[in-house]
Amino acid sequence: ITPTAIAENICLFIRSNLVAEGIEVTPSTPLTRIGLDSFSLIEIILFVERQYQLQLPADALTQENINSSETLAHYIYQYL
Amino acid sequence: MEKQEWPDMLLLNGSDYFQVLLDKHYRQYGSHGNISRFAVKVKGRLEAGQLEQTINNDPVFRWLYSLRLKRQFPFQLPQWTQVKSINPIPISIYEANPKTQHIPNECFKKDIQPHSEPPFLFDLIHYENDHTLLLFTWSHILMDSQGAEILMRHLGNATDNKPIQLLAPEYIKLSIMQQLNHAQKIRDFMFVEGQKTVISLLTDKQNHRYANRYHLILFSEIETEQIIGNCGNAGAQFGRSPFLLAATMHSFRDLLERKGKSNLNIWVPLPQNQRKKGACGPLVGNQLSYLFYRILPRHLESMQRTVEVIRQQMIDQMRRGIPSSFGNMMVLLRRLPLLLYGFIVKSPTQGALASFFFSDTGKTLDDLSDFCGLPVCDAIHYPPHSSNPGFTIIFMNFQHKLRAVIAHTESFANEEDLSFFETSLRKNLFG
Repeated sequence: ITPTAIAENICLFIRSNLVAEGIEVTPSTPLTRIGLDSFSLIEIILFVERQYQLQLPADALTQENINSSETLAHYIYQYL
Repeated sequence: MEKQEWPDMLLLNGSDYFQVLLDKHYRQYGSHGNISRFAVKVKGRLEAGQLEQTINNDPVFRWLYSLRLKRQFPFQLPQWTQVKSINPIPISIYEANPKTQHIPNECFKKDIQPHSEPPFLFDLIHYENDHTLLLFTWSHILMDSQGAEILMRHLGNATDNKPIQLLAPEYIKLSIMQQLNHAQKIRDFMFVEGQKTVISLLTDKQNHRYANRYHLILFSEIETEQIIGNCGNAGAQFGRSPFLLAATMHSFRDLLERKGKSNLNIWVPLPQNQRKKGACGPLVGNQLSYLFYRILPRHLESMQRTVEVIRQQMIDQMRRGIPSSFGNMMVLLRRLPLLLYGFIVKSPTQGALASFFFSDTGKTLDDLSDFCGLPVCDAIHYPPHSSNPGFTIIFMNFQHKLRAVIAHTESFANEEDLSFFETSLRKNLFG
């Protein structure tokens, strides 16, 4: 598992569940720019926790960490 | 729009039937049913004749206009049915008051009886300065605010040529045991979280038909940026809604204290739009799930504390699958007669649905710049008047500027109270 693979996995989840067809989601896309609200962002966090069998500490989830799939992936990687 | 099958019968989903309950509840305590409104104002003149022609030539509008809520037998699934012949869809025309420039009160007094009347209507208001406002009024049983926005964008050719999805995909049926398990989970959640008495503006005078009013709070683009910046300062890492909700709760507490009420719990259900972001549908049906926030007096010691509590409750409920279980429970409860349904829904909070109603429609109107070929200068969602609890606030963006619309019942909160609330809200949002 690499941060790149994690980021792609997150992008796949977003494309399949959270955004309409045709909306571009890449690992570097800022998540708030594609219209994701607080509910959606938490769904992403919970997906990651289920997928990688971990629980992320609440106070470590800063705007920098959840800015994009890429930043989130790098943050998760340190917990694996 | 693609070729479409026009069903002559449409089952209500669980969220729709909850809106039927609200319609009954609002009529019981107030002067209207569960009626929402969406207004679009343009620079230039929209001609009623041309609009009427466009609407009446559109099979989407004709089909929606033909729907009536069927009077159901006990334990029968609620449904819309189609009347076979309908009159042309009219647009009522008004001239705005030149002094106040407000939408005529008459427009806001219109009600819709979903069993016997078309589920929506149009008003066109002409202003002296060559502006026109189109007001779309609809029964919330038929669709939610996002659905109405999609429909109006479709009318105004403002969907960026995206195809409209009319109906939601068929619901994946669960077994009765699975549905009952979901219902049990929600029952346990509600009775644990909702046991304590809920505070609201209501007084003993609950059975009178009091006047309903709207109060509009506008923020500039710079003020909006400042508020978004303050979200992070207050600990709202996941979007702005927790911060807006916290600010509203603080100001609501201030308002209650002004009226001599204090030290009770705030209980607020928060609807969540289940559509995918950027999607043009489903148009019909309430696509909503819910989160529920219980705020105790000690949670209101600071904005940061309140935001933290909201965030924790949101994460906790989503981890436990409360929104999806609530949705499944609402599907199960569709067969219940309204009286029994109302009893079940209101019993955890001893008859009170909420301290106030809150929603945030987000930034969907940021890019609404053109409607029927004319530049858009304003667009506003007006929430239903709930009468009980008598206070509903809805936040939205329009062209990158935040605004809030409060629907309030005058006897519980008058204009002086609302001015006080606004002052407090601005203080809480700007820090």
